[in-house]
Amino acid sequence: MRRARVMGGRQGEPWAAVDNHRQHSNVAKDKMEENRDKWLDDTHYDVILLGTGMVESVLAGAVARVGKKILHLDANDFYGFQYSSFNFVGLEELIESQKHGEDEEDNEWSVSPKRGQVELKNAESRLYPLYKYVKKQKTVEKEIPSSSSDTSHENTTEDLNAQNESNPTPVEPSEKTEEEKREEEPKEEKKMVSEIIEVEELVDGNEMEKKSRHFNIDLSPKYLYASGEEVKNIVLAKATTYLEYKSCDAMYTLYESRIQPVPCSKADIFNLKYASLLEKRSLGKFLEYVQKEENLASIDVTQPFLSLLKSQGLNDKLISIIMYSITFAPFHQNRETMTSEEGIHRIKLTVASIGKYGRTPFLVQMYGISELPQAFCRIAAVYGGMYILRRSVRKLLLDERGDYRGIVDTEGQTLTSDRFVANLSYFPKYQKPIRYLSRAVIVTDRSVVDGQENVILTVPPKSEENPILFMQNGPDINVTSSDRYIVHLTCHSVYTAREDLDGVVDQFFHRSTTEEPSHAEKPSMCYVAYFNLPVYARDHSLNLPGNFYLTDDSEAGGVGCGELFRQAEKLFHTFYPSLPFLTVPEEEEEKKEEEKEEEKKEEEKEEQDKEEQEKEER
Amino acid sequence: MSSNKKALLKVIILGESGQDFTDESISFTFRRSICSRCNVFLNFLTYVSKKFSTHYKATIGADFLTKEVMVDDKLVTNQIWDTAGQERFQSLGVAFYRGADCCVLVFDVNVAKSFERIDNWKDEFLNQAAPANPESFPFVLIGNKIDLENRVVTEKRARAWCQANGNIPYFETSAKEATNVDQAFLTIAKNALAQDRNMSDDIKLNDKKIVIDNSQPADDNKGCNC
Repeated sequence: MRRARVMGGRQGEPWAAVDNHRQHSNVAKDKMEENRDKWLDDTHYDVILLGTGMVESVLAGAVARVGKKILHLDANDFYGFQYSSFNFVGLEELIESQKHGEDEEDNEWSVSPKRGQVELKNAESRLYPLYKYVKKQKTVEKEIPSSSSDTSHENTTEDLNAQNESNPTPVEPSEKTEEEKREEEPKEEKKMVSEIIEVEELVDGNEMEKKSRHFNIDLSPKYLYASGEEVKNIVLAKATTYLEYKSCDAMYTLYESRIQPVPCSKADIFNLKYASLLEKRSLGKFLEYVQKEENLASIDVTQPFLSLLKSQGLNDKLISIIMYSITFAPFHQNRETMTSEEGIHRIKLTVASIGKYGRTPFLVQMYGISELPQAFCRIAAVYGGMYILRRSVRKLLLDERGDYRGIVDTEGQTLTSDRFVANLSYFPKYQKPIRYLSRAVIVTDRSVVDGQENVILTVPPKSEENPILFMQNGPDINVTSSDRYIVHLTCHSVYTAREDLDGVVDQFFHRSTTEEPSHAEKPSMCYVAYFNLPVYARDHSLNLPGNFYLTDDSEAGGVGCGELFRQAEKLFHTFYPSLPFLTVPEEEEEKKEEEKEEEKKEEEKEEQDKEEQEKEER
Repeated sequence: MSSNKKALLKVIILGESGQDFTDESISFTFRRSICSRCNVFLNFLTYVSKKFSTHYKATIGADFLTKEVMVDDKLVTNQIWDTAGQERFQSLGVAFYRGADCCVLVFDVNVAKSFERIDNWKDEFLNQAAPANPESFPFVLIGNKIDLENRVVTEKRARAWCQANGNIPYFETSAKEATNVDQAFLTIAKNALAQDRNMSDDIKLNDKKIVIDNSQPADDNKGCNC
């Protein structure tokens, strides 16, 4: 490695060599000495991965699974990167930390230590009070006459009780008793007795901070397609032991400012209240038509999906339902340029996913989406992978041919590997100009649709805006406290998150300002946060050095995450064309089973021996 | 088995990864990263596989081990999770702690530092797992490697810590003989079940959970024929 040159990124000439003086400056050396106790024993790996986003984590699991040695780093102190989930205090801290951040420029030879850290733009949040009456037990000092009758006193207690029932304004029983005391003082022979009475008090029931730990708030919420790549691979990898799901309860769309159901079956189509008989018929017909292979031969699948829909005589209402609520594609790709092939593929995916685990196509991740990357990281760790959070790459080392050879990590240790995979966020020079997602996180006091917990709702654009994805999760998937609902709004940014989403927030939710319980028809918000989340896209015009690979978030803003799994699989097969993705070769599995059986037999034997011994002892 | 009680308990093991194995015959059987794992996991492994063998190879890829015990005529499966080495650089994700029914804290009786860090591990667990009743959450403390000769943490000191932390049960084990492991498991299961009874509401919340695997019958409610 001595001869390796330190490389870095000047725009246009990203891997220019730099002189060795800088590399071995005394400052750097001192720092290296300091952190030696954090150095790794092994300095060579098959694959070093940087970033624990979805693609990197799945890939790490797959690579470790086939017996390769991996080192997995992340600059953050949590797993998941854009797919991380936070409790309430954690999210607030993240938002707060963004306000003071200054952009540090990467200089030509190193990776800025800020790279790869979660970065939010225009982040702001606000708590709203949620006033409610709470029954509280209060201890009241009372005087009870020692003599048998005192009608005046009994009346006062009755009055007090009556007041509690009819008028819920807070009462101050202690004051009252004091008055009573004064009044009653002249009377003789009273005993002091403390009594517990129930009073109603108006309190702010917001309690977000108090219940912070109950929240698992996703930066990038995702639902899983039951028949999608993601679920197939979770099963394949046997990650099911770590992951728990519930079914998404219902799908809706916003049509003429009202929440309307999206059909999940033939029967549903004919029960649609917002479509005419003719419309129902042509919707049903089209969905049937594109699913039959023989019909597809006559369709030019390279033409835009939009023109296909139009050529099939579908009106704007039906096109909107198909586009946004059945393919869900415009949430992560351009609606105008999306091909018919893609559109048809996504219709098939949705239809195949319906009924597999529930009446909608989607599964909802319990405890938040960050469980998913963490499960694959655990698989990698179980198969010997080395995991270090809060550690990143300071420099990259290339050989004379310009191929990747190794890294210097942020603790100053030089580590080499055959291959290097990094999340694109760490290497700005390979990024296209950053786009953003506009996100809002809203915590409410009840569901937008009575009786439904986890729902997905699409808000088609009125004109030039982007469509908005609305996901509500209830307490049953352990992402909010027991009496709260959490709503995620996501769309591709035109302006700031607040500007893009405030309209929809006001349309669906009531912002409580008065000091009284809300009687609004809409659910009341007790918290809202807005932020813009960067979407890093690869600039494919720049070639990467050999053995150096980048992952990007090709499905940002979309519903599922099958694309991300496909990206990981593709990289895996580039590395190891003949090895299986996320599974073990059959031989090994068989061996394991044999071993297990052997052990069982021996176990039984030993148990028998034990029993015999015990018998003898007796 | 009554349905309102969990028959499966998730037991997680936390503690200093400590030094590498001193016992040649063990380290021989475990490849690379295993040395960074909890040594007690090894004890249990040895115990569960009921042998001290040189031909046990399945550790890499051993995710969790199961140990069944009988509690009040009920068969209870302890699912024992170790940290898979992710604790070495303080890089355990919060997902590891999810739904833990019991937490086993482990230290090496020959390494004072490992005992001193038990407090940190306990705090870390309560912080990350955020159990409903942190005061009564079942912990178990295990002093490991009592078969070695350079012991520095006395039993008295360990028991004093347990007393000060709400009477946490204490056991001493050794890798050579699976000493006390049986009792430890029984205590773990009993305490975790007792805790479960207090939290029946939480369990009810989770009744619609979906288990995704290939055996799931996909036929009922097979939807869209459109």
